[in-house]
Amino acid sequence: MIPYIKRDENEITNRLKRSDEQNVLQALKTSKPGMEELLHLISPAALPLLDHLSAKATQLKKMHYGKTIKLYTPLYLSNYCINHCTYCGFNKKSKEKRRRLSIDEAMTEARAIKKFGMDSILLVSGEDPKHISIDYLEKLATEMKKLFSYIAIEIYPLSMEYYQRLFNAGVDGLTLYQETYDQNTYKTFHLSGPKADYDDRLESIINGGQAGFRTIGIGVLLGLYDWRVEALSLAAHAIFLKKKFWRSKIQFSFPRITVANPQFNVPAHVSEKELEQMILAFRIVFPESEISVSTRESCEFRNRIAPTAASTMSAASSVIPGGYADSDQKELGQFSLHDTRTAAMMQSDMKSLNLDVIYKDWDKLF
Amino acid sequence: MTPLKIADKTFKSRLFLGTGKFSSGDALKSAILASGTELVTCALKRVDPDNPSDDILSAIGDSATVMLNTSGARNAEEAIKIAKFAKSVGMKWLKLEIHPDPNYLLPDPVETLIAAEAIVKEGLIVLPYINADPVLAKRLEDVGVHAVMPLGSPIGTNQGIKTRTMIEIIIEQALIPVIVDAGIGMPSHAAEAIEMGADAVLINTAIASADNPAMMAEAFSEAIIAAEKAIDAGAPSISLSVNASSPMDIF
Repeated sequence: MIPYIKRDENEITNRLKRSDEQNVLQALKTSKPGMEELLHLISPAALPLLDHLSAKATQLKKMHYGKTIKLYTPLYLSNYCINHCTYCGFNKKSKEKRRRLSIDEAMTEARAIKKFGMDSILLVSGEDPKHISIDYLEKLATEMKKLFSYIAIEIYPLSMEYYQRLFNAGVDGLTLYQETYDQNTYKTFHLSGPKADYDDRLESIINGGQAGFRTIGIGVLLGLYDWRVEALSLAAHAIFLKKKFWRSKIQFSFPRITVANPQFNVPAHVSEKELEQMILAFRIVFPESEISVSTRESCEFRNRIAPTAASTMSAASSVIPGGYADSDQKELGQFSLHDTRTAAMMQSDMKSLNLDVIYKDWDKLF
Repeated sequence: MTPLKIADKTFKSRLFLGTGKFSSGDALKSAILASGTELVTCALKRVDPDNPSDDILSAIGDSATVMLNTSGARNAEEAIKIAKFAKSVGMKWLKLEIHPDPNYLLPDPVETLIAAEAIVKEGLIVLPYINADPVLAKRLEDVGVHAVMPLGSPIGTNQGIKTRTMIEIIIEQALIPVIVDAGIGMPSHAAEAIEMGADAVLINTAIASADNPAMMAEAFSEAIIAAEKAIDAGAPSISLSVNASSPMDIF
């Protein structure tokens, strides 16, 4: 578990098992739910009560985000990586072809994304400062800001000074997943490279908070460890970050492992129903926070979670560097996708769910 | 009641509308028409005034005056930038809201006062969103804002007027219109604000998130009209200070 939780993990797993229907219904009635209520809402006892969770979450989603859903598109800059994370398609042992986009190539991709109607972009890359340097990122952010109101990054951890350079260049949001909050599991899946250091990764997000990013994105890679324990760690992390960086918004993501490598054995599988339970529980306990659901999940699932819990979704994604301008790319992807709808299809599907798609929710003036 | 006047504009309706949470431009448009509102606010971050086919702006059309708001600004500097932009595209009305806290969206009094002073000098009509702080309301009045907009409870919570005691003091002391903004969840809350002596209310979540936004807009409009009528009818329980917005007009 995350070091911020002082309780014993056995005690927590026992309490999760003991939680009953009454506890769950009581948690749903609490006006300001916290860790205690979250524990009940993610417990096995709450799984048959998903309709109750869904009704409460829908109400809170409507109050805080209205009948809307924000869309963004990820742009993969590079799949070079110096880490060996066994679940990831970009890991350094992979023999697949590598590619890094030049600034010009990245801007060609950006213009293709802009053509979908997008105004919010997420820049993603593997960890390799030689191929993706701070100077490259800074220059790219400055160029991207001419096209997009909102820019977020999901790259390797940086120092406060480097994060600040990117913030000043126009990057608004930072996403840095801990992947798993369980220290032993972390060691098992992150074999070498800078990412093998659990504490360093946990501390790096603090650098981002200090640099002033508007949004701080956190998440666990679901499938590595018991999701219920991970959920409590994730919530504790959020509460800590919310207090420390009160000017920044927390964004939760709930990526389930959809491995590029079929040999990878998912050790702690999370079912779709359990994923839904977890997301609904977070909407209830963190009604004002952003919840992002990516194209790793199916159309049906994303349609279901859009009115109840999600505030933002990726759309029209490609996880291959250069995949937008040239859709025949056969290069190395990070993971596999399930929802392949275009932005226009997403918009019409959301409309039929009575949700307004928001492309612009920020401005270059900020 | 004597008609509401803010800056040089007279309003028939005391209901102002937010635009952020509707399911479509059509839903927004029908709510505007059903409410009878003459002033709507939209966040610059959500709209593109340079784009003639912008969803929100084209849904509003000519049906109401648009008051751009600075939502998203974390400090005075950012709010002033937005104000200057609004001025450059010919928008005169500005709702000044600076909430560095992204969770409860509570306004920053220090930055708001600094920004208000600068933006008033730009010649815009400035309506700051504030916590229900009577001293701040007077300080803003002193720098020349055109109305103050204290919150009833945090944005989007629909809890009603939890800050009643402080809003009563703001109304008692104000020489400019007082608009209760944020937290109003039901038509009865809106009526309560008007009965307390507020000049208008601004509603977003309660209408936009209703199953039938247009019907809810109408309900709010009727509640406000009912409260106005009650004041005109001389309800004995309503304080004498109501509507005394000029120091020379005490009785």
